[in-house]
Amino acid sequence: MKRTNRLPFIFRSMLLSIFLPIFIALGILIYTITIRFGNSFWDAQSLIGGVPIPWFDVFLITFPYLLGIWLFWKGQWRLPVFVAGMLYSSLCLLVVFDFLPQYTPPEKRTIRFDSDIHRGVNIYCNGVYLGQSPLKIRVNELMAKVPEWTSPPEQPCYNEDAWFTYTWYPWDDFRSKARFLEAKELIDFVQQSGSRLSSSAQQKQSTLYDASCRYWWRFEYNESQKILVSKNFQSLYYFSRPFEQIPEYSFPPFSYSPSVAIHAWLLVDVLDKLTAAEKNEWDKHVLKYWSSLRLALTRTLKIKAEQYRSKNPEDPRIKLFETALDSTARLKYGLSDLPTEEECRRLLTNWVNDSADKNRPFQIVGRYLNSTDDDHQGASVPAQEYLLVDSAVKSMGETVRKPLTEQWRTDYYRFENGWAPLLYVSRKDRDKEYFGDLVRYFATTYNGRLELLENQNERVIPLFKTLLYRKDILPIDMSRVDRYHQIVSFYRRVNNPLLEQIYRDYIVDALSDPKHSESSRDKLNHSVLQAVSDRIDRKEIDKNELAVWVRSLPLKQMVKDILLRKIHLTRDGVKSFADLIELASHFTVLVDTNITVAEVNRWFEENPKKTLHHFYQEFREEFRYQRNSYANNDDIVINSYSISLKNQSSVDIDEISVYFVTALMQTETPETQKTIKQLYKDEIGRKAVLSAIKRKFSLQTIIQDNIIRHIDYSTDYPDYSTDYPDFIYDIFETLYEQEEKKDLASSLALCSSPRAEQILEKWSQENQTGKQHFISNLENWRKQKKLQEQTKKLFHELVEEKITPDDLLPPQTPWVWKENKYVPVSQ
Amino acid sequence: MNTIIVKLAFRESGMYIVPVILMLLGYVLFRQDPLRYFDIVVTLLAMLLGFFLSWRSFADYGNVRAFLFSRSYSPSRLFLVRWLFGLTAITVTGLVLVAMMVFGIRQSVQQGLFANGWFPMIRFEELRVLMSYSFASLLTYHTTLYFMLTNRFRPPVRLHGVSLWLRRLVTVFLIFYGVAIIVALVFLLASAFNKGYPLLGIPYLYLIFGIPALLQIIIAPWFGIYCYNNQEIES
Repeated sequence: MKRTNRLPFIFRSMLLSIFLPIFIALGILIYTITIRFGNSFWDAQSLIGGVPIPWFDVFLITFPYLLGIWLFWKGQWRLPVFVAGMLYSSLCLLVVFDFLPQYTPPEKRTIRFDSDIHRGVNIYCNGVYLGQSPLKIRVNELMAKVPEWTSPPEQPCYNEDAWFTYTWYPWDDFRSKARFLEAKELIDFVQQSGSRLSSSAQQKQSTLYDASCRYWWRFEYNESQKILVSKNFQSLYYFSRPFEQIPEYSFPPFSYSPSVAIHAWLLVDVLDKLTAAEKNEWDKHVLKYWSSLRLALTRTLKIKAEQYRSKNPEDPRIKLFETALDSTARLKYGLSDLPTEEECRRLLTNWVNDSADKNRPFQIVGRYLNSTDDDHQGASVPAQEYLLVDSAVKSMGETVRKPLTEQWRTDYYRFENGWAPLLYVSRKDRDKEYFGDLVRYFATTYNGRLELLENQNERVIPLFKTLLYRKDILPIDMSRVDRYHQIVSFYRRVNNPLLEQIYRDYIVDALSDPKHSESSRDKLNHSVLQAVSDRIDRKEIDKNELAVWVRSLPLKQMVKDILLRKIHLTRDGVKSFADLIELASHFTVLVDTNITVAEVNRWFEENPKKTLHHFYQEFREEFRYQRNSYANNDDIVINSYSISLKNQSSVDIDEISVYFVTALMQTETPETQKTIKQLYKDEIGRKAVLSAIKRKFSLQTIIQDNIIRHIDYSTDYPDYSTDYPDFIYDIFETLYEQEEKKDLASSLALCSSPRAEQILEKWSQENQTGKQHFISNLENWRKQKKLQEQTKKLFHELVEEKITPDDLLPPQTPWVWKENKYVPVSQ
Repeated sequence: MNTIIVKLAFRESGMYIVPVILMLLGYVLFRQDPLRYFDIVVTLLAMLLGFFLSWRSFADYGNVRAFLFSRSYSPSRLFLVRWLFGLTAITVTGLVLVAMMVFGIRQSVQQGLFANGWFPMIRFEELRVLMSYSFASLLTYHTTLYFMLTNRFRPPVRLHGVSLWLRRLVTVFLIFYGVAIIVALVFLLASAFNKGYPLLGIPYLYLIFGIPALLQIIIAPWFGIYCYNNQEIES
């Protein structure tokens, strides 16, 4: 009888095949969620009506499966139950994942070190070794394993200049206020953090740390101390879901080693003294430290090459520094000096396979290749991050063509990220042969736009015309005039002489449209400003012709002025004070005023004894504060002054004015010296000059910092190569305030000029308080000097592992916890 | 005999499927952007095609049913010819789409009317859209077919007492639910595709929709014959 109650097998099979897509999709969904949420998700306890229900989530997810299997087995006429079950469980899934708060008791939360922290970092807590990253540990496991410390430990050094970064070294408190907060506390904290930027070091201490901390972390990588840097709060995610509580603590992903900068300088300084065998050792050493060294090393090589180029463009050492990493890349990727096709094929396949494994470098390459708006990432990252990929591509040369074409075709269906290095290679080459493959890839994925549009095949012309008028890249409901600025912005980075005229014609058409509203015209002006600015930096574009074209455009007069000034500056170089202001504006400002630079220049010529501050005061009414669409990532020097003056508050020295003075300091012309000395007489100018000296920024550093902030969040790379111009030492000698001297002593310790030693010696011999501070800086200077003189010896010791990169660091003043704050031991 | 069944099926479904097919061909001919693996319009039109084919061919309203089952051919033949009619309609439409792309008709229209710069590079690449078309049309065709056949299926002995209206209610509910789930999955995939993981998603697409579509083609004839041989027919 029972058997007759069952539906026939064929019936059940058909039913199962109909619901199969749902079952398979749910399976994939669950798998994805499990991977994404990790252990904490499965261990989460749902609070419903105040009652914790363990494994409730698991039950909800498996319920439809169990029901389906049971019904198929029984084969009974229970379809309503089945359907209701499916509906119910689907709804429950939605509720669990999107609406119900997930509460995890603090002791069950997981601490994770698996984001972007370099793999293989040794992790200690309160002196107990926990393992290497990636690492996950529960709070209760940690507490069982690691004894509490009742007070914060001694810190070997502390950087008072830290700007929104943690520089506790090497101990790092995982319970610090900013690191892991519940949602409400976090909101309060972030609201306070604005004022913290300008607060003193002690205020920062009290905001960031308190004495209730019990667990302190330490990180080591290849025997070098590492410091975590937190500029992005991991918990910001919870703002969007305010009822959710934190199931886990994820450490900020960015970290750096304090010894990185000095290590990089040593490796670069020693380069021109090495034999071929020693260069091989150099390559191995660089590869060992590559993950932490890469940014600093590539940057340092670039700076060094530029230094030689500025003195003698024919210097053979320029090439040495520019190609230093080629052999490192060949070693890393197993390429011979003249790579064969087989080697190239193997490397390309490895790249594709590696990136399938969520290899971060290639993900970022992908982001670079596909990015359309973010200039920092788009323009500069590969040169920094992927110098090794770049070098490998250079080494492969023509040999890569055939394997690359094969790879394009055979691996078409493979992992999307795997295409990034292939796109990278094809972009370097721009070979017409790749065009068809690039079009097909782009048509499928809409990735690889730049590589496609920069290809030299003439078929790119009709394609670009089609793409310019495509609708599906932008919201459908957008009006025609609102689309213009997006399209201009979208394609502004395309660098292909075949398409330049079409792009410019489009800009002219867009600007000439009579139906523009005020806002759409403003936006379009902004996009054109960016597009033309991009072109100003391109060497192959004739600046005179560009200037003529810009003059003919129906742009706003202000935008036109800015562009023409930029063109003038790029074409003719820095020749006047006005140019210097303009140069500063490149990095910090877009001058939003109706005063022309020529007027500023003239005013300074007519009033030689007056300062920049007088200028601002005199023309205060002329400055209009319009933080409109023209102000993008940059800010405005002149505006910053005008805002302060309008508010009639005292003018603080902020980052921007320091940048401005730094820009002035870069050119060692008599005019610059005169201007800086003039500024120095003024109280505001004086503070700006001293801050700029203290920061020891160079323009290059500013640019690099901007890049690094986007990538590695490690901003504290001191520059060991550049020195101050001679007249700055005159300023040092005129200093009389003790605090100012103390502030600048550590900057002076990094200079190579013997005058720095003389001044430090003089300061340390003066009978005054804080003498120890000057003596230790003098020692630092001497150690630094010794380091410069003994680069080869130190390099060998490093390679033979007799010393670690940390041993290259100057001795630091330890800091101890005293009366609820850290103080230097000397106090 | 077969001709009569086919004619009947076409007469019932023609006025529904012909406009859908024309819309599909028109869309494929005039769409200016490349057709990718997943195209929402092609998918929805294909679903509509599958649904109309199944619904109109197998509904048999009024006394048509009694008439059909009183003919000399067997219920199995009736089912198989109808089922094959649906599959043929889907296949022929697909072949016309292929011909439009392969023989350059779409390319000529696009270049002639719109000066479309995508061509000739993507002329053959666009064939990939057939994946959306075939999965959507076949799955919808068979899902609707299942509900059309079970509506009149004679249940096992102990369930003879379950009233017809209750089973119809369940059927309508299931149709609604099944279609809703499939549409939701389609949109889920569409959104995943638009977020830039198209190539990554292809294997999943084959897995989620390809295997069930294949299974259904194998199971459907047996299932259909079984249902036709065991159904309740009103006098």
